Amino acid sequence: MDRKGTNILLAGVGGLGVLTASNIIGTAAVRVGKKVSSFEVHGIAQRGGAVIGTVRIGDHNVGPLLGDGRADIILGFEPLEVLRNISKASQSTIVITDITPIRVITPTQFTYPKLEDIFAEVEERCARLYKIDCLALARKAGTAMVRPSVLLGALSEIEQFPIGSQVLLKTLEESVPARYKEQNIAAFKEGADFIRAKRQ
Amino acid sequence: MVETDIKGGLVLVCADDPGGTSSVNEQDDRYISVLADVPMLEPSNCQEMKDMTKEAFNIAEEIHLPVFLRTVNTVNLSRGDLIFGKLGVPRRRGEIKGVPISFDRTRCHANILNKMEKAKELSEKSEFNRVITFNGIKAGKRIGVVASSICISYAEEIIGELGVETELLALGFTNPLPEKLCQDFISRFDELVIVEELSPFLETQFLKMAHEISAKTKIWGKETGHFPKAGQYRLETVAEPLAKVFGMDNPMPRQKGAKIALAARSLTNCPGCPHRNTYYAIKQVVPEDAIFANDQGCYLLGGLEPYRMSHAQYSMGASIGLACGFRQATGKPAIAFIGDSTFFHNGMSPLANAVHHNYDITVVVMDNGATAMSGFQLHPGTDRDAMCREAVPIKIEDVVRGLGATFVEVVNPNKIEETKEVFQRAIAHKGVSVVVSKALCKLMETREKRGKGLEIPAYEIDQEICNQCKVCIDVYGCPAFYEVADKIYIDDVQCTGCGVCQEVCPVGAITEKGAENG
Repeated sequence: MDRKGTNILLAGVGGLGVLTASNIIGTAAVRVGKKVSSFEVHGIAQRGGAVIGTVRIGDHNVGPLLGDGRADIILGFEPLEVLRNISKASQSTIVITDITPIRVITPTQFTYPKLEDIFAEVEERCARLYKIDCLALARKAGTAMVRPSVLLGALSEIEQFPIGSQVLLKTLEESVPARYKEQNIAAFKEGADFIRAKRQ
Repeated sequence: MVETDIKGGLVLVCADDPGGTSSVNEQDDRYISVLADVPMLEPSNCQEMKDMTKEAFNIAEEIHLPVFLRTVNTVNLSRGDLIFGKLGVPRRRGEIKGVPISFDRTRCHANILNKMEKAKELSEKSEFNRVITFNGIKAGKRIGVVASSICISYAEEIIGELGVETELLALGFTNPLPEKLCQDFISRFDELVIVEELSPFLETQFLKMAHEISAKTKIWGKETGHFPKAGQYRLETVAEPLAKVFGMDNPMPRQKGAKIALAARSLTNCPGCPHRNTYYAIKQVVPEDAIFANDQGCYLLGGLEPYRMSHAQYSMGASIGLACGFRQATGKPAIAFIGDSTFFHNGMSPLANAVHHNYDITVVVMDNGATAMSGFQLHPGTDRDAMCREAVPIKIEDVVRGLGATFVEVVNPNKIEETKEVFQRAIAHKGVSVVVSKALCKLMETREKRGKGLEIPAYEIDQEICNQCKVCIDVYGCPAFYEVADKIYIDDVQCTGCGVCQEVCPVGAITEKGAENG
């Protein structure tokens, strides 16, 4: 790993699992002996607001924030929120995003942009965009609640991601309540399969 | 406390909030350490947060002064790998010795100043004040960088990207500053760049220290317009001025945002939140000219769209006192909102005062059984104490009656009509009226239900009946509703199954779908 390490940006809306996912990625990185610096938005901003998390993984200590154009991977929990943080992307960034929009309730005069317009602009600003119907895959895995695990599974299959998929899966298993363990594992596998299929 | 000759370690932690994402202002609390004459440590990352906490106790015990551990939001909200040390052996019991009260303030003050001289010696040799060397391109002039707190990591990263030869004086023990170390650093450079968030706390002291040694060193910072005094710093905030001083291209120019216009997501209470129901009910019955004093907690979001029920919100517990003042000053109906944990924290004394002076106000205690905004901390109204042991919960209505209030009603805000009726009477009541609006935080309730494997009902809109009046979106404002092509739907992922919207919908278009998990 070079001095810069790997920078991951997680973008979503409060309640979608951004913080849980960034903790799981960070914990997995510590397990493989990496230095981790992670940042998250807490508290009032979680209540229906835009939420971001960062995870910086490498061999050196760095600050927790990400500079513009410095994200290697963007993990999108909501399409509009990926676009909101697009300044963090560069032409070498891999973007993986859930396709289900969370509507903007207020201001009421704001109409949610067309999904194809959002994806077109994201595609223009990054190296590769993977669009995943996490909700459908999570339901297939047992419950809509395990949506974040679909994204984690997808992330584990990205070449630039520096942690082995088994470590990430193991960390996930140990981080979720026992009664949802099976569904989380199934969701993780759905996400991983999705990326593998797309890559071929 | 500073004047007391404390033998045990006393460490005060204070978190500043540049950017004000969770606070009412951007106050720079580093000045408190100067004002109070106490040593200050400032961690720049998770590891230092731990290491400095330990060191702060050591310093406090060594010089018998409280020590100030000052952090900023970016440090507080970060996580990282951490190396633990060995645990010390805690002393089991403290000891209070009889200290005669001294009225010799001058002697006390002189004593503190002596202690701060000792603190300065500790600062000079502290490992938290260190010089980091960078190899790279030599500039024509000798340029050094000074930073503290989170800005140390920003400066390190940007210097690394610039690839210049320089030295960074990273300061972690910032009151008193290590004068000899700083002056030696100043004297070795033609120019210095000071990187710090908020006020020019270091910069002003560096200007003074440079003056004392008649240094010709040019100091770039906030006073020279290179860095902003307001707002939270990002890497880009530091990149531009640093590149400018070093005469290099900016390695991290700000990138353009999205072309598509994006609305900011307004904050709102969670789907199914009982606070929304309290606001909805009270809004139906409150006089138009009423003034609302709000407080610190999730319910503060009632100050935003679509309720807009907050004319002022300051510190925890301020709402009740504010309402009294508003009533006195304007003669208009005044309503205070306060949460359960905030009430226990600081709401009881202003309420006693309001009752004693017979102010004509309505106090709404939004009792959701949780300190939900900041992470579900326990409080005297919960059935566990701060150590998570079983405890007797103190009922807010009992406290309120004990304080002498005569109009005290407890309502379940999830029953809109009943709640409206109670508020109508409360507002009409002359004198202090208190309504305890009591329903469990929806996040906790959902967690409990899922834990017990209980079914969470789902709701849908009968499109035959719905007339698209949009009361559910525009007036009630639950985020589970959305509109596509002039039809209103319920997002079954967002919906928490509270069913209160059935009472809100004027045409009765909302029906239960039958149970579904998730």
